[in-house]
Amino acid sequence: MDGVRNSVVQEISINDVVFGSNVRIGDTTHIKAYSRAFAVQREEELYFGFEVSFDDFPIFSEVIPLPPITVNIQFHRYNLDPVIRVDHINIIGISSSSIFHVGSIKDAYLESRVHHVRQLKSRPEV
Amino acid sequence: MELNVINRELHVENIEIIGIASSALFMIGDAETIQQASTFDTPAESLIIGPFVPFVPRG
Repeated sequence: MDGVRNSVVQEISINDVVFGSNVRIGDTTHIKAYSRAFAVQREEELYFGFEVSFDDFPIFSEVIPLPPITVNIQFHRYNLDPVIRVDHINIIGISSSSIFHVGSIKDAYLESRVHHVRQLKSRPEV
Repeated sequence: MELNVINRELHVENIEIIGIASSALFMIGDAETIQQASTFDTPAESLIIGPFVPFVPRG
């Protein structure tokens, strides 16, 4: 990978990096990240622990088609300034297989699958 | 197709981010290929009104 710029960041402050997230400083050739979540929103605070298996929902296993790159692109970069400068970055949270990367990447693939459920209290009929 | 890009000076003073989530990517740098996919499923049967019982797997 030639003609790649350098990244210069003076100051970074991050509060939380959680659930398989990454902070990477430096160049990366390949990176893959997967996240799957079964999100339950209940009207009352009530937890049963393990509730369900990902295997029971096809959304967590269905194939996500990636559009093929059919157009042949001749790509030319002219880096008149070979440095990307950032003075200050403040991030409160990085979550669920997300990536914060300082430096260049050759190939990246990131995937997220969420199944969202709401459980509400039954109300007396009017 | 031919694509010509001229990268001149790039200098950012300050970046404030509340959250990066669900397989998101925030990067300072150059990238050759980035592919991202996301599914979010909340079907009609995912709105459950009734007594709070543990989620019973279907099938």
